[in-house]
Amino acid sequence: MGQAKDKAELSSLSAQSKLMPSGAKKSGTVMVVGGGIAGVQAALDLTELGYYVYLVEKSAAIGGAMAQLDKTFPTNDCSL
Amino acid sequence: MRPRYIDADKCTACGLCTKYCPRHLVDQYNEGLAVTRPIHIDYAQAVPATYFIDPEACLYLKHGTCQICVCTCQSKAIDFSQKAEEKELQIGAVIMAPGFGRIPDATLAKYSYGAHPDVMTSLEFERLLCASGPFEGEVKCLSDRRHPKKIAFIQCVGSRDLGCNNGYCSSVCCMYAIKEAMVAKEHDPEVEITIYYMDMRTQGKGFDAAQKKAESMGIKFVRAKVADVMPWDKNLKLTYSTMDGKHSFEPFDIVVLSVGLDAPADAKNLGEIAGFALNEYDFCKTETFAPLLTTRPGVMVAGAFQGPKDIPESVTQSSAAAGIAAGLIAKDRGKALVHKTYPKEQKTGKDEEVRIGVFVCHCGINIGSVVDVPAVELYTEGMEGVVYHAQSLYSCSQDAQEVLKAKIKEHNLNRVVIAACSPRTHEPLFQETLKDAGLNRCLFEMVNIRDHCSWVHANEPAAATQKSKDLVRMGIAKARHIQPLPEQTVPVTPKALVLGGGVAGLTAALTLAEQGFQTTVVEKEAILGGHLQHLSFTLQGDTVSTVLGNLTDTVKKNKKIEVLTNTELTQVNGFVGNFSSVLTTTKGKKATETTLDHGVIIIATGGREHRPEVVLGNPVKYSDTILTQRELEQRLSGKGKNLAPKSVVMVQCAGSRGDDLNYCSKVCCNHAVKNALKIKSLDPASQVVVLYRDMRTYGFAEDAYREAREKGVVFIPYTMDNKPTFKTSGKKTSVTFYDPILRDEVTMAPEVLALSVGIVAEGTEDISKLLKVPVNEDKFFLEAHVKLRPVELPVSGVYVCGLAHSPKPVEEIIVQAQAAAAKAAIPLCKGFVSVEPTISCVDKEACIGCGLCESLCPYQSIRIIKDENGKRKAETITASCKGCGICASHCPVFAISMGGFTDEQINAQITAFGAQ
Amino acid sequence: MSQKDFNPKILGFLCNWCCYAAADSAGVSRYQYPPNLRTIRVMCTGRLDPAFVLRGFAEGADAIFSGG
Repeated sequence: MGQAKDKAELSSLSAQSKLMPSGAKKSGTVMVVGGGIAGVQAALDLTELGYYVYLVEKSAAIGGAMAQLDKTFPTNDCSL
Repeated sequence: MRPRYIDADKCTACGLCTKYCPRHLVDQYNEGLAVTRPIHIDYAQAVPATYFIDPEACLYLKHGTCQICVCTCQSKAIDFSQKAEEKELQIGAVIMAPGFGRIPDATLAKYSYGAHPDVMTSLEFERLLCASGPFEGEVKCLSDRRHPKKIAFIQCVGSRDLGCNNGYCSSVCCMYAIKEAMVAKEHDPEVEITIYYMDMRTQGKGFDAAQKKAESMGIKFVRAKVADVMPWDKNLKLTYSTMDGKHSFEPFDIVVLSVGLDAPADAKNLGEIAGFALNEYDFCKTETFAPLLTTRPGVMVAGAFQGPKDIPESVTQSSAAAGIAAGLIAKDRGKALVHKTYPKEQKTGKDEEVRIGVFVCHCGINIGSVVDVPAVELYTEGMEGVVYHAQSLYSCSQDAQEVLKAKIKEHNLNRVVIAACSPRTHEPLFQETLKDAGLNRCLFEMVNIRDHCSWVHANEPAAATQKSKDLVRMGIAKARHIQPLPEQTVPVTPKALVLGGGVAGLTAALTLAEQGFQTTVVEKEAILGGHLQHLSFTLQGDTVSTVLGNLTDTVKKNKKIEVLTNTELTQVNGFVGNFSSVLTTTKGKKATETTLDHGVIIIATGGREHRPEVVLGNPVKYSDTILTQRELEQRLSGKGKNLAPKSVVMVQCAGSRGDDLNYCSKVCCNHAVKNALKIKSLDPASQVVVLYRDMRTYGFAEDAYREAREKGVVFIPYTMDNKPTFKTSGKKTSVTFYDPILRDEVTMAPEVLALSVGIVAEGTEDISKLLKVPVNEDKFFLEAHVKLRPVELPVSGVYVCGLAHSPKPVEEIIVQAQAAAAKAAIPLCKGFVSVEPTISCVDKEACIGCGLCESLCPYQSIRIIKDENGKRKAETITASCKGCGICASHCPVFAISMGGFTDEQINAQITAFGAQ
Repeated sequence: MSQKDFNPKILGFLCNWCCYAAADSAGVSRYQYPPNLRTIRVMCTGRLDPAFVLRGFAEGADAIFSGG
């Protein structure tokens, strides 16, 4: 997770957010909405692929539902 | 951005503030089963590892009083002046991954949820099972803390239920119920567990095997609908009805509701903000052949918001979405990245004087309150090589890094030992500081006197201090022998090889080409398209031939993609970044060989239809009247009249799930429903009977299953103890089966008997030998990590997607192919593979070329080569070595050393262990 | 010597990925265990050369623990 933290920012999405079409040049950045396992994985892969990522999570920590799980099916590995 | 009221740079996650916070707060992380405080962290491993204040519960933020936490915090991290901020960002693409929502409590009320504390959701039960949960992993009834003797699981709560407008199947509940039941049984083998279900949908790779294991552990599975759950004396009374119409009831101590996944609560809001459409259940609307694109260009979706799904599928979708996003803005790759620069590294020669600096950390009171830190620091005085020693309150804090840098310069240190917490979490931070100070990052050793000492010997301060001294002495002994290690990188040939020209291979090639990488697709047949050529329409109504035609055209037109048909891979050499393959093209009787250099390989070789000759004990001869589902589909989409047979019996799991193949082929239930619906649309009077074991129309396909029943398709379950029998006489075939509702044997003589035959792997064993990648017992490729690395294989630089991985429907194949391409693009776009310095290294002088290491290496990362004198010598393949050290520990002549874990270093630690 | 007085010196080799991580979690959860163990971190217990075990005994260990 270390690598993503260098390049990704963590912030919360406010209720008034709007996604506006922008005339400005695309800047090599991607926004990922949601910091669960899906969002985190997408952010990690994008930084590895050479893009700056804004990882947006509304709660205080990333991890989402998976962080609440004790073990995972079917191997019963620890999920944290 | 909302404030957390705590400065993340200063917070050390010591937890003192939570101890002093006077107010209680229901712990949402523990599903309300425990209490926490307004200032808290959800769990110890949370990222960021910074506490936060819940503004709705904090006495100061709500009522302007208290502020006790401010003075308890030793690192002065609490900052009530933080305000919410708004930011405007320029972005090239968006990935929506908001996850899933909760099934509303009202849906759970009929099972006495909320009315009786021992009725709980599966997530609450999960927390009960967890060692970090409210009862530290002990399973107790919430009502009176007694240990339960009988536990029931009710499946499909809030799923497959039009009553709460969730017509879909949540796709994960059968699996987690089995998991939780098994874990509960491990906690207490005496506990009796019953799972009440409609269909066990364990269709994923290896999932059926887990269910069998659960059965062998004594967990009962009962096919029944649960009517209600009522309090009954101290227990709960669960009333259920079975297939034969019988009603029964049974007492339980705990009833667990296997709640489904709802759409996220703010889905509508998100859809409006970002301007994309939702489906009828408020999940994101997508298409079969573009599963991750929302209706708004540039906005992708991944995870449970795309449709209920498990962890590996979410992870796969995320990588795939990342790959698509990367393709959309490929021109801007690297433009926004921030690169860090370091000062030039000073040379630390072998013969140079060892100058060790030792820093002993208090970690606030975490270490200091148990271990006598000043005594430990003093203990290092005068030890060989130690020229400087100091204490720090928080050695990980930002200002401590500055001190560390200054001391390295001031005392000309060339080894640093930090006695603090775990290298697993903090080594990268200190190594970064070493790099900033111009030292090689390997000239560092960490001693764990917190996690392994103060925290676990809290009541024995003297013994903990002694242990800290011993560990520090051992750490210093190792540090004397540490040598700088070079940062190693291996260049990458920025080209990809894709094996297989089916939908998986073509999609993977296209995803790579869109990111700008030259890709070669190898197909052994004369034409592209693979398995998909045999399909005509999808459950969602797409015409397959049009889509496939477009896909092959796009691939053929793409200048970055080279397509080689009639070609097979015959030889592979090399390793990640530097493969060299021999491709053999056969034209008529002439075979030509070409050599291709490439950096990565994607395996998309597909599978094929299984054609068992014996189905459920009945010999089968395929004909015009005994067809596979694929053949039936071809007939139904033909041009003639009277396409629909007047009567059809479909037999599910024909050859699968223990009949002939051990696994579930995942696609056959959908295939049967698809064909049944097609028949009904062609001729509503046609009679269709489906004999099944579990209908596995997971996800939104459940809607089609329901529609089929509504249209009069008859679904009748059978068991392996009472299988259907076929009898062929002349052209007629009759099928006899047991009908549990009539409670009698029924015989039918349908016009067509359609067998749902499943999918088998094809050619995977040959490729497994060529590439040295493993296959599982069912001959599908075995991924590197089932949950978290689902498209990577254990050999670096080799990826898998499609039917070669496991049977799956086309939308999952597309996602998996995009994910494999995204993962494969990582080394290609970096242009190099970086290698941790802690890998093996062979002393060529000492090596006797015995080859023991080569045969033992689990990652095929050491090989025997001939040196210039023609002698056999071992050589580490640095790009794929994982640093486990098996080679070093087995080398009979000690010719292999492990970076950072040399014999010399470990022996020094052992000697220091003895020297008290 | 009674059981109570026996205070063995144990030398442990812990795999970075599992047992060392587990020892970290034990700390995070504040599990209390006897302070007799001294540990050496390795990247995998596959690194464990039998010679290390023998040397450990020679240096006075009463027991060697290998966690991986």
